[in-house]
Amino acid sequence: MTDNKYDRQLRLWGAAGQAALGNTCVVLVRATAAGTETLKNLVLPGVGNFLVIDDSSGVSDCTSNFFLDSSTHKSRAQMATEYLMELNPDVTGDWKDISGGLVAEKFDLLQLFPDKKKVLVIAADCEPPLRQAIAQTCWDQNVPMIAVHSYGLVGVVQIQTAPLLLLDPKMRDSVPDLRLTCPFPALQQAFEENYADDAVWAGLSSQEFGQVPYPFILLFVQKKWKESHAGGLPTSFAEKQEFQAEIKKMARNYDNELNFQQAVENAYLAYTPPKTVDIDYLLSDCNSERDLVLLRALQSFLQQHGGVPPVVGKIPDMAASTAEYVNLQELYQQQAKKDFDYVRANCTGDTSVTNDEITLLCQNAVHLDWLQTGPLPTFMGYHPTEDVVDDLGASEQDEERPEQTALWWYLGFAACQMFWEREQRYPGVNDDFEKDVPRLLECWEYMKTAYGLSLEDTRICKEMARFGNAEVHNIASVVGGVASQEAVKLITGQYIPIKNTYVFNGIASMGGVYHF
Amino acid sequence: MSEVGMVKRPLESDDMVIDSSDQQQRISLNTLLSRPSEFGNETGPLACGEFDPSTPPQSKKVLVVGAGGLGCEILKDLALSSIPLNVHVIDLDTIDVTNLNRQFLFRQKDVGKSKAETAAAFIRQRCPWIQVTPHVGNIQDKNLDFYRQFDAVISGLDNIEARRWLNATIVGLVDTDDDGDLDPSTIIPIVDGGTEGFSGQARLILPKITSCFECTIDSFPPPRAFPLCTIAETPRRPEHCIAYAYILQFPREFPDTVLDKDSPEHLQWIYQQAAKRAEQYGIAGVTYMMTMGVVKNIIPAVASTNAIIAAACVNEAIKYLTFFSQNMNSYMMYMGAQSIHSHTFAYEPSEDCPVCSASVRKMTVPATITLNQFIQTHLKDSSLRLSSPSLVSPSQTLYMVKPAALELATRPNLDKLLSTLIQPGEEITVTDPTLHGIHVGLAITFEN
Repeated sequence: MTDNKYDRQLRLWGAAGQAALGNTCVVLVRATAAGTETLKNLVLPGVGNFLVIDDSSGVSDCTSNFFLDSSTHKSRAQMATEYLMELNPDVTGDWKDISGGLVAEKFDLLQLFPDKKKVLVIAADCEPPLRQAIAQTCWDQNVPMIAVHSYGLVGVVQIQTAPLLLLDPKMRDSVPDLRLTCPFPALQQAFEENYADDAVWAGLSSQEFGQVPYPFILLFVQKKWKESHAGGLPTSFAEKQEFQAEIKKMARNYDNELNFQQAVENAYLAYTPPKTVDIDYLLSDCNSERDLVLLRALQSFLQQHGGVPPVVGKIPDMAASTAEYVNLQELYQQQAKKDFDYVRANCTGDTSVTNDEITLLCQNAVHLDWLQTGPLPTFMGYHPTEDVVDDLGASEQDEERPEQTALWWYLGFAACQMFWEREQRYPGVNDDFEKDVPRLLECWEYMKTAYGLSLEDTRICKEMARFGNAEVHNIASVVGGVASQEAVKLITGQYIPIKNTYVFNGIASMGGVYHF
Repeated sequence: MSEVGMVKRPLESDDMVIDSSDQQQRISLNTLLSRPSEFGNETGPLACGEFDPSTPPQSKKVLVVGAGGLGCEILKDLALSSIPLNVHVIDLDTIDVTNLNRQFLFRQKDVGKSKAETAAAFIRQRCPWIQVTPHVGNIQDKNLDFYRQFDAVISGLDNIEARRWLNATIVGLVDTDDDGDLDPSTIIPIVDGGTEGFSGQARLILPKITSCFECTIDSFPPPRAFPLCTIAETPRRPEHCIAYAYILQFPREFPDTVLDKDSPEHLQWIYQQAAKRAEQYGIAGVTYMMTMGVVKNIIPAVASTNAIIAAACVNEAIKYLTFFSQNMNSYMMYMGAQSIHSHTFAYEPSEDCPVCSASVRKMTVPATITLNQFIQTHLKDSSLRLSSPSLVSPSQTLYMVKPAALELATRPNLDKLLSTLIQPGEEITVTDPTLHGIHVGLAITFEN
C-alpha cells in the first residue's frame, strides 16, 4: 500500500513487466557515454543485474561521460559499474576487464554466462569486427542485442533479436469491439428480451430512455433498417446518412440525450462488418514451440468462426445507467471468457503457455504480428533486399531540405564504418581531418550504390569527416534513451520494438526508423 | 562499492595512456567547436547566428526550470556539454520516493529534501568545473531582472499553467525600438520539453520569431473531468467511484480539512470509500494504485523518454549558444510506444496570440451580456483560458482582481451590462496572472 518507487513505470508495464526486468541481466560491452547512458536507463527502472565488459586500461573519456571520472587507478569498466550501481540499490553490477584489448575472437557469451539467466547485450560504439562478432554470438545463442553508436551529431540504435511474436502491442484501440453486425447469442438475446420492440421503447420513462446504452439503440435501428431493406445494411454514403437520421428521429429530446448522440457518433459500428483475421502467414514463419501452440489454437478458433477473432470483452464508457452499463459489460466479459476457454482448450502441446499469454493472444488477435529484425546488418558487403531498397527509396524526405533526412546520415555513418574496415581507424580523428575526405567519399559512393539510393549532396560526407567519431554527450544521451526504451520492450515483451534501426540526426533534430 | 566522493578533474596529457588495443581517446564537442562546418547555425532553417570556429566558446548563463525528471537530465547534459556555463536551477518541490525511478540525482536518503538543492549539489560534486546555483521556490516569485540575466532558459516543467507564465514573462522581455524592429539583445530563447509515458516533445521558442507556448495551448486540451451527474448518480467505471469519494464525499465528511493529495491517510480513506461505492453498484476494478492515479492525476513516467527529450532540448540550447550547428525550426514530437515515430516541423505562430502578437482581438458579444458573463464565457471558458482576468478601458477601470480595495470598488460593475460600461470604439485591455506582464487588447462590438 505504501508508495512504490517504481509506481510511475508500473503504470506502463505492470507487475509482469517489472518481474521480467528483474529477471534480466544486461551486458554492456564498452562503457562509452552511449553505453553508460543506456545502462543508466535500465538500472534506474530495476533491471536485475548488469555486467560491464571493457578493454580500456587507462584511457578515460570522462569529459562526456557522467559515469567516469579522471582517476587512473580504476579501469573504465570498474568506474562505470560503481557509479551505475549507486543509482539503484535493487540492482547488482559487475565488471570484467579484458586485458590485451577487446577483440572479436575473445568475445564468448557462453563463457561469461554459464548459468541460464535471461540476457540482453548492449554493444556500445564498437568498431565493425567487434560489433559483428558480438552480433554473431548473440544470434547463434539466441540472445537479443542492441548496438548503439553516438558519432558526432549522429546517433544510431539497431536491434537484433530472434523472431518475436508481438502478443502485447498495447495498441490504443479507437474502434470498440461491440459486435453489432454479428451479435453473439447472449447479446442478441439481451436485445430481443429488452429492446427489440417499439412498445418497449415507448414504455420507458424519460430518464430510462436517456440511459439506454447506445449499442441497443443501434441494434434497434439496425433491425428496423433490415426490415425495410430486405435484410441489407447501409452501404452507400447516402444510406449511412439516412441511417444516422433514423437514430435522431428515434430520440425524444436529442440535444439532451447523450446516449443518442453517442449512437450517431458510433453509427458505423452498426453497419461495418467486423475485421477478420488471417494468421496463416504468422504460422509459416514460426519456429518457437510456445508460439506454435498459441497460434495454432487461435487458428482453430478463427476457422471455427469465419475468421472473426475472439471478443475482446472490454467496452468503452458510455452514457447509461449504472445497472444498464454493468449488465452490458458483463455480456461482453462472459463472451470473452467463452472465447478464451475455447482457445485454451485448443492449446495442446507446450504446457508452459500461461493464461495471461492466452488472454493477450485473444485480445490482440487483430494486431498480431512478428517482429523480425533479421541479423544485424554489416556495413561492407551489405546488399539489402529489393523490398528494403524500395522502402528506403520511399522513406519520408524533407522536400525543402532533403539533407535533413536521417537516412542520409546513416549512410554517412556506414561510410565511416567502411573507412574503419579499410584504414583501422575512423576518418577525421586527427587534426587534419579534411585529408580523409576523398577516401571517405569513395566509401560514401559505395554505400549509395549498395543501398540503391542517390543523393548528389556531398556535404553530409564532409560533415561526417569533421565529426571524427566525436563523443557528444547529448547525442549519446538521446541514443541511450532510445536504446533503453527498446531494451525494455524486448525484455517485457510489451509495446512494439523498432524494426530494426533508429537514426537520429542531431543537426536537424530529426529521427527515422529504417529496416535494413 | 564506490564512494560518492569521487571528484573529477580536467584531463591532463599525462593521463593519456594508450593501451595495447590502440584505442585513441575520442574527441569531444570541444574539438568540433573549432572545426569549420558546412552546417553551421547560419545555414539552418532557423538561423540565429554565424558559427565562428576560430573563437573559443564564451561562458553563458542558463536557467533550468524544474529539477525533476527532465531537470536532472538537463543538468547532466549541460554539465557534459564541454562549454563553460553558469547554471541556475529553480524548483519548489521536495523529493518523493516515486521520483527515484528516473530522477537520478536523488537517492533514498534524499526523500523530503529540496529537488533544486539536491540536484545542484550532486552535479557540482560529479562535475566540479560547472557552477550550479539552486533556487527553491516558485518561478512567479522571481522578478524580471532575474530572468533578464540569462542567455537561455530550458524548461522541464510538468504543468501547462507554469509554462504559460514562464512563456509570457520571457516573451514579455522582448523590446521593440521605435521603428518596430526587435532588439535582439532582449530575445532569450526558451527550450521547452515535456514527456508522458513513451511520448514527448521538445521545442525551441525564439520569442517574437517562432511560435511561442501560448500560440499552441489548443494542442493541450484541458484535463478531462467526469460529469458531476455521472459521478453522483450513474457511476459506471471504477474511476467514477474514486472521483465521488474525493470530490463529493471527502469535503462532506471533513468540511474543515483541505485534501492533501500526498497524504497516505487521505488517499487510503478515499480508496476505502471508493471501494465501498463500487461494491454497492457492482463495479469492479477499484485499486489503491488507480485511486492515486485519479486523485493526483498521475502521468506515467520513465527514465528513457526523459533522457531523449532532455538531451534533444539541451542539444538545441548548445547549438544556439555556440552556433556550431543548425537549430531546428522549431518543434519535435516523439512517440516511442509502437515502433518510433518522430516529427520535426515549424509550428506556425498564431496570428492572434495574446502573448506574442501585437494584434487586438475582435469579439462580438450579445447586447444583453453583463460584465461577469463576459468574463466567464469569453475570457475564462474560451480559447483564451484565462484564470482571473482584470479589465480596464481608457476611460475607467472595469474590474480589478487585486488589490482588495479596488476589487471591492469595481465589484458592482460585474452585474452591469457590458454595453453600459464601454464606449463604441474603445479598446479594452485585459491582464491575467497566467499571462504575466502581458496586456491583451480587445475590440468589442455588440450584436444588434
